[in-house]
Amino acid sequence: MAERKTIVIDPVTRIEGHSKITIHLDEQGQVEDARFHVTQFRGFEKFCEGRPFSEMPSLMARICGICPVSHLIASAKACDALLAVKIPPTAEKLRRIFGLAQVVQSHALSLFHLSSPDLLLGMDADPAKSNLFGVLEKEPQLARDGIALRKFGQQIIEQLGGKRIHPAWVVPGGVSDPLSPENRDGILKSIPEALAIAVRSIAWLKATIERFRGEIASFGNFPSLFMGTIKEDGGLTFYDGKIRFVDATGRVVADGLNPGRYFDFLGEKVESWSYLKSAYYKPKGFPDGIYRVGPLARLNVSDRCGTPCADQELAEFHELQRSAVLSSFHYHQARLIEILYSIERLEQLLNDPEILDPHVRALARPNSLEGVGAAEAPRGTLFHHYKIDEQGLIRWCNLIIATGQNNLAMNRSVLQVAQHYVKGEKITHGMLNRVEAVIRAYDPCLRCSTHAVGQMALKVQLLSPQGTVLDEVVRS
Amino acid sequence: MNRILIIAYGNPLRSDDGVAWQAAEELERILPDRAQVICVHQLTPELAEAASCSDLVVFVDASRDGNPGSVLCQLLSPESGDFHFSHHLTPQEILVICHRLYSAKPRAFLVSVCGECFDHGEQFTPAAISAIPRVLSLVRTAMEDRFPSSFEDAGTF
Repeated sequence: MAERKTIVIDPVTRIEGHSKITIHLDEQGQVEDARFHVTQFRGFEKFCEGRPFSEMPSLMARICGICPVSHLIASAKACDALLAVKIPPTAEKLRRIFGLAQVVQSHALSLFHLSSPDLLLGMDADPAKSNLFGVLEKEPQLARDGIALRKFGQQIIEQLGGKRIHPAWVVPGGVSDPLSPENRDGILKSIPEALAIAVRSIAWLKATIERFRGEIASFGNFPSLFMGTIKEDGGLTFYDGKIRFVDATGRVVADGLNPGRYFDFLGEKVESWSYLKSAYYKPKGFPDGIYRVGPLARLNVSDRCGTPCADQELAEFHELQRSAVLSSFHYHQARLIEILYSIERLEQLLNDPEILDPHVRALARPNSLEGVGAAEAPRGTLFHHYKIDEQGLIRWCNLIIATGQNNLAMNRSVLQVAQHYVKGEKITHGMLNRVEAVIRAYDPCLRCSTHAVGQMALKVQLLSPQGTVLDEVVRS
Repeated sequence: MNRILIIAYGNPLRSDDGVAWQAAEELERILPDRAQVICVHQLTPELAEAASCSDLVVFVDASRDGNPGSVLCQLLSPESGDFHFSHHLTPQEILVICHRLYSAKPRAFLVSVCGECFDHGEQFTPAAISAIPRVLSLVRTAMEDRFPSSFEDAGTF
């Protein structure tokens, strides 16, 4: 009698954090299930209990070295709600600038440094070459462009926040310091080059993805809901707005939802095989309430970007499919469009006549014992929810992070790719790389929910139900 | 030696792993204006661009290898090899990127302080603290282009 088998990919490479994938084969050797496991433990919600609420932005920024700005912003907004203050208009604009710079540098990391080897060298490339060094051998300008965009975003963060990683500039009630004319002019001066890079990168990607029709068809190409924050006019935003859900046909399922009441429409489920919770849209229940967040979702829910070049690209993006754009392979293109939007929007904000106003912080004591802050992080909608006591000490904290919201979709995507590409009992690098690449398309940030140590080696084993190793591939 | 770049890397929330940041703070205070000091948690490709604009690059980090408090200095070059990148790079990989993308070959050293404790914390062990003056001395020596003849702290030249 034939045996059921399991393929384990542990850990998954070129993503942020540690995870593994298991692929379960039936007696005929066909893929019957696949799971994306997050193998790190997260403790931030617990260990912040008892800390003064004013420490939360700095504490929460430590969740991640890639997207600390998003946690700073969401956390500070939750603290604004505790203070029950309206922050000064210039502080809000400066926070927007901060967040957009983060989008540029984070998306550039994902696309240019982590996913471009797949896109440039192909999914079946030699694993020894399928990395940044392979990219700089084959297309050095692309590598230089990635570095330049990362530097552009990081320099803005550094100029505003004082340092690139874990800046403490965003504070409850606003920001700690105003923007100086020198820094504003310096950033403005760097915008034309960044814009030119974004434009030619989109042109490169659109030409490149023609070679990936098979992957587009099978990389998370399934119906689901999409969630994102939009402005009142339906425009793309990263800082504030209302929540919109659209379904796979592009129809608006829910609109104008208050992110401060996320618990009314989002549920979370814990699975025994992963430390990452799975979020779902409550009205549809679990698991039918599967939804996606992040660049693909934001562009699916947005009617417009509100900046000229990005709007042209968005219109073209919406034409990729008559319905919502369903394939998760298109996260890459969506990411570049958001980079383009962010650069254009940065220029608008920096040219705002009030942007140098020194009044950037509202001071107050806590006026509410509960507060929610939400923002669009590069990877998707981020919620911070705090409850404090009369002394201002944190008594309860809940974080809903993009990667958790994409968890169901990532699992389904892994299954789809595995069913399409995994054949028989012999493991090939191309097969494995595609399974990993679909996860990379989501750009999961596992550090956002956990704490990571160690190296990212890749070990794949094909196991019998008794645990016998039938095949093994190791990458160091 | 006109343009000098000091890249200190490590995690300042992991006790001795952050000793390079402490050394960098001292270096920033004593070095001339033509020296740029950057503190980072890990090495990323963007640093290659900054390195390409420098004549001398000194990487300072903490290491688990060796006797606590000892300092190891190593001359670096952008030799080809089997390179990988996920989220962080080695100093040599930074130099490879610097060479291949920007056609620059700055003189480069790695100065490693052997730490004793890498647990969570912001305090340094006495061994790590005691190594900082030697780090400063080595950086000054590198700036004066006196390597390797006057080099005393043992290195892999």
